[in-house]
Amino acid sequence: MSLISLWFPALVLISAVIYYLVPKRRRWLVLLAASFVFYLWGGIGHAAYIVITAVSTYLCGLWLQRIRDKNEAARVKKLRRPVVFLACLINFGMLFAIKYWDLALDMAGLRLPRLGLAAPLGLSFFIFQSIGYVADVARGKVRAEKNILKFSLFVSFFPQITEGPIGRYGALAPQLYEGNDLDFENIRSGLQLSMWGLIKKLVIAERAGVIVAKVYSNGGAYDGAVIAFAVLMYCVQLYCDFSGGVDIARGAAKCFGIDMAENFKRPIFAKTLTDYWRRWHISLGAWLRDYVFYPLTFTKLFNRIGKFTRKHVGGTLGRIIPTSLATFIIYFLVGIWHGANYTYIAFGLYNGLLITSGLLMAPAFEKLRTRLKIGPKTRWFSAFAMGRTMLIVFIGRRWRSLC
Amino acid sequence: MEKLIGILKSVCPGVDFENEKALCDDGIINSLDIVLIVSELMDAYGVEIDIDDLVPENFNTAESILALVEKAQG
Repeated sequence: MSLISLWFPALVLISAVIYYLVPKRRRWLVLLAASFVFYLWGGIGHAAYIVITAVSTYLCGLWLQRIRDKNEAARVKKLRRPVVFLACLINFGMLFAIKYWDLALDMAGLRLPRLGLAAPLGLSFFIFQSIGYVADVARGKVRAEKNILKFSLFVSFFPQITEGPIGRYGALAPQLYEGNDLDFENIRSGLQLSMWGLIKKLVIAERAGVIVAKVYSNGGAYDGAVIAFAVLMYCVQLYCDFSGGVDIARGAAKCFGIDMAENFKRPIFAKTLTDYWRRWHISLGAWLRDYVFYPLTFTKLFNRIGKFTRKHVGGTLGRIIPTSLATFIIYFLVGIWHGANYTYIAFGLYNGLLITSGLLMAPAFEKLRTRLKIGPKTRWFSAFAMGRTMLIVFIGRRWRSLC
Repeated sequence: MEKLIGILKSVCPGVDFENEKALCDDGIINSLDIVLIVSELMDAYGVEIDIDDLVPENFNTAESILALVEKAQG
């Protein structure tokens, strides 16, 4: 089902009515049923993937909980690794096969058969969300869910399955399972948020899209200024389409009294590219930070790289090389998250290069700023920083839209 | 504590570690800073800090960071 079809508000409305009529303890069942309807609306064919994810992560969660309950801390660390690895192998393997296998073959120039599989709805979202759960159980942040139906609700919760945000089990589970009281303030603000999202997506993004399509399809016929304007419109389109979709989803969830994480925080006001990625698709950045960046920098390999560079390169540079390398990898992942295509890889690398070089140049820039007496409160510099960041983002987007 | 503040300032110059009480929550230090701080701490104090301890609560004040180091020292 699409977030902008007429069926979606109908589904939300009918489910909400039933939700508040049913006793509190059973309300989560209504959400599960609604999620079933939403997901299977387009056909039962692609449901196999989400079932694989739900079952594999559910079982690994239980297994990890058993390991935690029966062993002391030191042994847990050793025993949990193969289980987490298994969950990742199954799910990311599935993701790779569906989304990236063909591209990988192209890049390697091999003549093996292409799979040509179509991605099911929300594939990356439900996989990332479920693997986050497995990691959280492994770390003891949450306890494994024993009820497979309840767990399926977490995996498939319909407002967020299409466009995110990527939720965390600890934050979502109580809201999903405990049943929420009827509060008209929730319904009012939920409807308002959804409607605002619809306007952004159907009105603003659509209109901007008309300009973008016209100019992009015939770039040679237009002046530089027009093309620049079209790039601006592309950014408007992208933002309104994405954040609009997320708002529709968050508004729908709010009608059930459920608060989903924010995914955008005024990205135009970002002062640096790193800051931008903390304001745009926040849940993806946070997920990569907690489940890839931190674990990566703590591996023995990175520790050894750090020791090596500290000794042989020395100074600030020596200290930040491992982190810069990890950052670069993260942005590469951000790139290919968006799509399996050379342009997305380039997009990821573009961001990675800029941010990593920013990290490496930071001490030099800091010296320059002290000399020029620019502090965090210097207004004109903040404005300059925002403009510069936006320009960098626009250029990245233009490049990315070249496919 | 002075040694710790010295290390923190070498990673993030210009941050008021003595007085700030919401380093992480207010976004004064970010995830990159945290990783750099942790690797410096592990180097300087010879301890292993657990990845499970990389939560905002542990990095909001200099005192909580010191507590983290002391916990790692056993």
